Amino acid sequence: MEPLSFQRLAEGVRDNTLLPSLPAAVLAAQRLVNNPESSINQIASLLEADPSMTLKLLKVANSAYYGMRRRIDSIVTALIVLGLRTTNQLLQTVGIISAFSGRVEPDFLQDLTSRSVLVAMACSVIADVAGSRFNGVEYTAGLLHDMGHAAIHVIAPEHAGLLKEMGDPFTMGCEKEQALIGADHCQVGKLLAEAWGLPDIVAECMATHHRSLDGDKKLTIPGLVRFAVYLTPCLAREEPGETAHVPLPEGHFASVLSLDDILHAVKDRLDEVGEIKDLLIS
Amino acid sequence: MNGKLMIVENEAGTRLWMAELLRSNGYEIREASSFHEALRLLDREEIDMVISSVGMPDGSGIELAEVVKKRRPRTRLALMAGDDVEAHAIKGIRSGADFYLTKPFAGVDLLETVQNMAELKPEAARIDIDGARPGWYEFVITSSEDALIRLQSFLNAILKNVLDEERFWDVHFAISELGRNAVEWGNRFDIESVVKLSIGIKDNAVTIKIEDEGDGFDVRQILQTLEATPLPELEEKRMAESKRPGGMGIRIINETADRLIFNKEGNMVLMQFFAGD
Repeated sequence: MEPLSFQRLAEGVRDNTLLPSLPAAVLAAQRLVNNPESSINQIASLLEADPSMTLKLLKVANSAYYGMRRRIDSIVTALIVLGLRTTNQLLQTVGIISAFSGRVEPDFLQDLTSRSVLVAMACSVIADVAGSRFNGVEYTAGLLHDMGHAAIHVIAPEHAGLLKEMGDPFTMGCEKEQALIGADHCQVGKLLAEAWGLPDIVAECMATHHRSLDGDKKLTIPGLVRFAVYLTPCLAREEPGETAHVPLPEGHFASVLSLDDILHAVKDRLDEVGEIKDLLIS
Repeated sequence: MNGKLMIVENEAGTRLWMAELLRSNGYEIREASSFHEALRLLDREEIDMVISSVGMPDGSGIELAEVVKKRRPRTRLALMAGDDVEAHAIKGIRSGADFYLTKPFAGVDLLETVQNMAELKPEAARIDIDGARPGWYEFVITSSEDALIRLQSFLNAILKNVLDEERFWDVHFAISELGRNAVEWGNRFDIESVVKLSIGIKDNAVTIKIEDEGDGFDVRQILQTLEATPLPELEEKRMAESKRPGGMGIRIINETADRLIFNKEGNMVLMQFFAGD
């Protein structure tokens, strides 16, 4: 098999017929939710016009996590139950799932989304624990960080198949990807971010989430995503485990935080919203 | 003497009426007819409380609130406005203003606001805005009655704008009652805990969510017990026990709200009120 050249990747990403775009309805809803001038009337009307989106939001508002004793049956009530932050996160997650649905294998999409939501939620929780507010960009960056994998599946399914044969593509690492297929998902992620017109900071996270933590003295969004990715093996375990197994470089921003607190906070949040995650991914 | 209070109002009739009423109630009054006159007075004198109009020709009350809170954080300040209330209320909270009085107001409302200012413990009355869109507001307050009363003064401005008087009082009572439940019974006045209050106003419906960090309570059991007892009898019983109408409040709200939904844990409540035809 010919190695993937940068040129082929770039052409594949730019080919409008090949890669999905983010669904227009989701993008419009996200833009409205993020705009401080948008009224609840505008947001609700736009969501009501999209039955699949309405259904998802109502499903989540009626989930066991919120545990409402009676059925939430209107979009406005669902929005109030979920809140602005969660609504925004749900729209982003639904958008990503819709974008790649039908273009990659369902099992792969499920694994990718599950992992991405995990990292996204971890980013939000760590930012909260660290007392930083990034206005939700940390969730977006966490959610999208690994989308380069999905792009490889769409552009070069035969190369994606090879990666799958050789191990778990999500834990394989960029060097091995480079050696096997001549490109890695971080490079492709950066191209995808440019094609989708994502903010530079999100593109940077997609390109650099496997870099060393050594330079992350201050809390930044790319550093946060790297740290969340680094914690993923611990987060994916049933029990967070001993923090002794999570060494950090000297002066890393998380050194002043309790890793136990972070891991437990993320696990608690994931336990709390586990059903929501399943509802979205299913 | 109840403290030194500055009235900042460019409309002379209103200012004089307010000054007279407050003087007769024991307050030492200073009057400023403009934003800049208020700043000059603040430079010259120690002022305990300020009550300022939002819209003045040479500056806004919101700007004044920012200046006052920066220079003298312990000085209490209330804003008063009658137009563009939604935007003014939210900007008012962000500016650090303590209370909001919706114009036109009666003397009793003015006295109540000034009394609330005098009694306010700012350290226990924090309000944060988690999110704000026209018609959709999310607040986080410390677990204290002061914080709830403060927040309600701003919410009143928003709600009076969309509800008729009767419906406004239904909603006001519901927020007051269930907000106090969250502070008192949910979070047990723990100042480290917060109460989250969200409000959505769309078309003719007002939707409110109140959530505390407590363990919750068995709402069904309370409602069943309450429903088995006629209201006057219940009121009499509560009064005899020297209790405020705590559970009775839920019963009343159950009758006035178009929808009242608790979560299973009993620490989150969702209420919906329709404004009418």
